[in-house]
Amino acid sequence: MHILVAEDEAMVSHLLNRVLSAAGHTVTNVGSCREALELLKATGYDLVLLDLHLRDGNGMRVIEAMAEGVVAHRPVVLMTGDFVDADDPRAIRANAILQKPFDLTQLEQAIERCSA
Amino acid sequence: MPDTTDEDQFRREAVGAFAHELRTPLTSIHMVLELARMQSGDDELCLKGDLPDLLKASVAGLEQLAREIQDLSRLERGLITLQAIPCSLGELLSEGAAAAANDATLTVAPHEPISGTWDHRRLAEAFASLIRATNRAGDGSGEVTARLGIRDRMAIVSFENGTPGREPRPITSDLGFGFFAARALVIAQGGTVTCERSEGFLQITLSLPL
Repeated sequence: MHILVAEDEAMVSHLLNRVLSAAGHTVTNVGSCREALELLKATGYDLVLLDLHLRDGNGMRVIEAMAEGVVAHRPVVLMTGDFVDADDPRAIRANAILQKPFDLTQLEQAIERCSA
Repeated sequence: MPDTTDEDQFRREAVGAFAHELRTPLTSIHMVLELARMQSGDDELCLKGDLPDLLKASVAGLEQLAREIQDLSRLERGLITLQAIPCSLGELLSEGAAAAANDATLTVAPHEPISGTWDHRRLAEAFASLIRATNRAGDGSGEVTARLGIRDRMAIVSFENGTPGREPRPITSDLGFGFFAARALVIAQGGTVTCERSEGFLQITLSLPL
């Protein structure tokens, strides 16, 4: 899969790239909503791994841009260090939620849920 | 942004920020261990290549958080004796900027020399935290501006970062735990810390007694 990772914590972003690449995925990393939206306009990603807190704002902006048709809709795994319950609007609008810290099994399960 | 005099609210925000930030280095440690497992195959878990350094950097993040919460707790209980010595505000800012250089570049507006008697080492660390917090809760561009002055016998430092017209969002959720630790230190030295966002710019302002 071609995965866009939008995560502003450099270490987490780098390690996600390593882990996902080792699992056979093609990975592109960005740290801001603006970069994510620019790339989503230009490139056809299979999945977006989206952190809720990005450098220039809330990652939900990216999901909203998809809902409004500003960029093409893609499956989204939302990553967050906040507690998010199943009724939270953020959880409903994303295809899957990963609460940090997560392990590879949880990451793979979230990706599978999106590609099913 | 809660009323800055509401200490209970600040304490709740600080605990929330701490819990949130704890999760980032823990996520990195999980990933490093997964990579080590992939590389080790059926062998015993073995950290090769750059994995030890990545693990060390993640643990350093946890250690920083542990230091900050311990300092905050001890300051609030009056268990830290501040080492007040004569120092220059400009020098303190330079030291803070150097410590935060990986996260943000500080530009200091021209100012008259300002000196006071403060805990030099801790205040320089607090400035580093406030520079990071300003960048983090601003537009994250990595450019932070500081302005210095004197008002009502207090030294005033304001940090600013932002982009005009930027979307409004809650400030405290973005500041990070370092902000709360730095704020406690400034208050322990008889000062104040406030923050506000206007027209897209985030401004953190602190005062210190002269």
